[in-house]
Amino acid sequence: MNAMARLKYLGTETYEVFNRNKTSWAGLLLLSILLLIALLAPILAPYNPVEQNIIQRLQPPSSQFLLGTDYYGRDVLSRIIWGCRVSFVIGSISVGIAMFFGTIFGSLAGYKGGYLDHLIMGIMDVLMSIPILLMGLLIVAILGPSKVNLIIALALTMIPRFARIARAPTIAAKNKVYVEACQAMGFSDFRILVVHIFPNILGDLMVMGSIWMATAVRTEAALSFIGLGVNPPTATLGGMIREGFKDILSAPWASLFPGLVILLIVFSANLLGDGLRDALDPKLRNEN
Amino acid sequence: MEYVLEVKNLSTAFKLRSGWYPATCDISFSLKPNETLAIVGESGCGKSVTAFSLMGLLPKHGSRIDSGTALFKGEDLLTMPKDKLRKIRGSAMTMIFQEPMTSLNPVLTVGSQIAEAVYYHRGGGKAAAKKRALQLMDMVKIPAPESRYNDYPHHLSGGMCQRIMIAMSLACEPDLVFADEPTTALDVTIQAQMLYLLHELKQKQQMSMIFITHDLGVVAHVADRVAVMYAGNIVETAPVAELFANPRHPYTQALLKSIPRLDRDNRDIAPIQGMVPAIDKMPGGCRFYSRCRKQTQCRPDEFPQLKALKDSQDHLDRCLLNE
Amino acid sequence: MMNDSTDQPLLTVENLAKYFKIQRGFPKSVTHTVKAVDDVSFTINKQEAFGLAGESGCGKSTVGRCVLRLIEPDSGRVSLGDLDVLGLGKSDLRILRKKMQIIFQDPYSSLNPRRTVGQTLEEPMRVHKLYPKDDIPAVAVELLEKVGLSANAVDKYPHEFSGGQRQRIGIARALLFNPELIVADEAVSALDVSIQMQILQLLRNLKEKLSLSYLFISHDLAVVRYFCQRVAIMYLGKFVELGSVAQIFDDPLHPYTVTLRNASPIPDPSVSQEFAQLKGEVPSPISPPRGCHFHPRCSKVMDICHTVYPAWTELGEGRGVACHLYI
Repeated sequence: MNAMARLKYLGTETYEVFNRNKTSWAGLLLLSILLLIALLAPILAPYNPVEQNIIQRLQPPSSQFLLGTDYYGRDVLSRIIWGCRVSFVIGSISVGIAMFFGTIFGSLAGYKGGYLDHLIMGIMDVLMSIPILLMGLLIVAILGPSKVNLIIALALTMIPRFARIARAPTIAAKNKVYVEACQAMGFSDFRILVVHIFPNILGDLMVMGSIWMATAVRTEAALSFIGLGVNPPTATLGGMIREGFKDILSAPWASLFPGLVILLIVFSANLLGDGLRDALDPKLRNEN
Repeated sequence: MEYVLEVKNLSTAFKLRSGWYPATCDISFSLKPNETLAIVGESGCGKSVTAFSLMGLLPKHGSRIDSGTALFKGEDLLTMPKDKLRKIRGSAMTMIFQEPMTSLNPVLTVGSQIAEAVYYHRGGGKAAAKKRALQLMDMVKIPAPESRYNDYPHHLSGGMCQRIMIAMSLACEPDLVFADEPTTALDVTIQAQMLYLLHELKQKQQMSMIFITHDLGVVAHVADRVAVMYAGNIVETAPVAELFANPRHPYTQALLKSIPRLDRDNRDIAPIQGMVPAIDKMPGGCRFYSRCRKQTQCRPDEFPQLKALKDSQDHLDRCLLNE
Repeated sequence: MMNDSTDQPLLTVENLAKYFKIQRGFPKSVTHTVKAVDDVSFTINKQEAFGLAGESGCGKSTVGRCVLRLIEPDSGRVSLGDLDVLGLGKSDLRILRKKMQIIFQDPYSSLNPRRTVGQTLEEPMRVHKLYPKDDIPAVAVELLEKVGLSANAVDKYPHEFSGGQRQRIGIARALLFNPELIVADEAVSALDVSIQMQILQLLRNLKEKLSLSYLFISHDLAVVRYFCQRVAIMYLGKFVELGSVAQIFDDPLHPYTVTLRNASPIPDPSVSQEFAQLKGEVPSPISPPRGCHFHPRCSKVMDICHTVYPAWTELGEGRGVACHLYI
């Protein structure tokens, strides 16, 4: 009874928040469609994305190849669908890792304050001062290009941002009377952070998460474009732009369509994030 | 008798998620020149709402005035065109707010804020406005006004900020001043100074005051007349001595019996049981019925009107048993 | 004040002090020390409500929190029965939490808005394993009923309750551990006048039934008079006077107490009160006046008051005062 009531309350609360801003629906819808396409890649993609067929190379869009073929004769549409998958995987895993570690560091710094706060945030500042592409370059140069290393590089650039996001609401929550009440109840700091403070910062984290997802996808594309991303022949959106670039004037579809899809992913993730942020911000604060 | 303010049957409503609900009902009172009326009641009773609706400061969305008239020196505030109301507001009819530290603009000097009130309504040069501002600061007993003029609100204590607010409200020699819980946020010794200041100012200036508070101690020493509000209604109105000596409405009686006094031992104190009904769950009859000790003698479905008592024209109450 | 069982007080506080360091100034910052609590000593007996009264910034809330070690005091000694409160290690603080609890001022922010009332009450019991797991929900319901709320409150969220009801939940939470002493930090100040008395009577009943003592912190002297047996008046971190409520409010000795009492408006227009003679503002705690802190505002100031801080003088019958008039 208790759990059901609680779930229902959480569900309605989330829905109401979401519904306040219509752009979040658009963002969510678009993102969901793209996600679905990526998930259903094995079913949806009409052709094998890596199989080369030199005879058909650089064909313009036709009824046979809906978005044309690239330099190696591979179906652009199929490569895009599979590329989406890669983008989403890399994007969500790196954001997930960054959110996890970033939140721990940030809320620890905010809650404990003092020396630990300065130390942690100092390290975060250093990490954040390294430009994203440079970080990607460094990691890939040291560890070699691969999906995993790409994820590590992206996560490292995002951890400090999440730490910052987690720190401020933690400090605000720490000063709330009910946190003092928890201390009076003899709860450990760990318990207070995880059970009482964390749910209050979750909203802000979600917003950032969706916005940073877009950045992760963009960065992956950029790194792939300069050749430091995922290795060929795996289809990635950035890699496709790279490969199609030399023929951009004669066969623009090979670069254009992957670029458009990146645009779509980034746009919808930003819409979602913006919508969430607007809805979560002041209006929800007067729930008390 | 020329009344400064005559309010008749003022009713307002608020919008909740589930619809519009009456907030204040049938508010009626009159204010003579130089008179201080205290509107006393607990949170949610509608005392601040009444003041805001008279000043035209109710939030645009989610609240509305349903009926009533409010004649300020003969003109109805509620039907007045907005720009005319705005001219009156801040000059002939002003307000002192509850939280002095946050009611002042933090990025402007306190002196300039007073001068702005003068300049906006009275015109004249900036120099004349400053001179008047200094004069006002002196009137509210701010020590060394010339040096304080350029201070910012955060340099001043709560009591000082409240004096600045009072100075602003007196800038244009108003006929009516609303004071919305002006001393609630102040320490008791500062509150005492503030009450004395208001008392002095009232004697020097010709102004009427509507003093809104929940503190019956303050009422006893500030008011000439008192209106007691409960759940959106005025339930009793009387001259101050009469109200405390001879309360007639069961709510007033119960309220006076439930507050501890510093000057005696408080043996026969008794709380009022129960709670004020929520705005969306108001009963159709008397709103105090569920908590009234004379419940058994009364009828729940009939809504009582505010009527003068038989033996005193000055003393009105809203109780079926007193009719 | 009759103590039936033993004469040993429940709580003994000796020379409690808490200083805060503030850095002001740019570019070279100067460190000021604010003596929020300065050499405070008192005792609370069993089943007694001891009042701590004063205006904002006098340090009364800090005293309450130091006694509970929610703030760590800088010096002094606090004993609860035989327990040396300040000597407990961090890991042993749980022992303390079971004996002393707190009720907060703001009913709106003292409860986690995202937890149901049931969760808020059950959590401490689960964490500290106070009862067998299956009994805990029933204990929560019992507590709610003890404070005048119905059992169906357990599934509701704080925003569904009024201020007075939330304060009752806060009281239920404080009672979870069967404490011996409860610090009530302005526990009724944020409540409506008619609700205040409901809560005060509830607290009083609980005092009798559960043999509780209270450290009752408040700025409202009339409430202190009603609820407490003895009271201490604080000014800028120090006690200025201590005694029974009748003594302090009917016959105050310290000029500040007189000022405070005379400034509190009495709800009776037939009692004439002179508000005129009160002067000045509460001085900044960063640099309190030399000598007696109150001397700039004192109507009975003497030469010695400017230079020497008056020592605490015991006047017998449990009364004490810090004023040169009585040394």
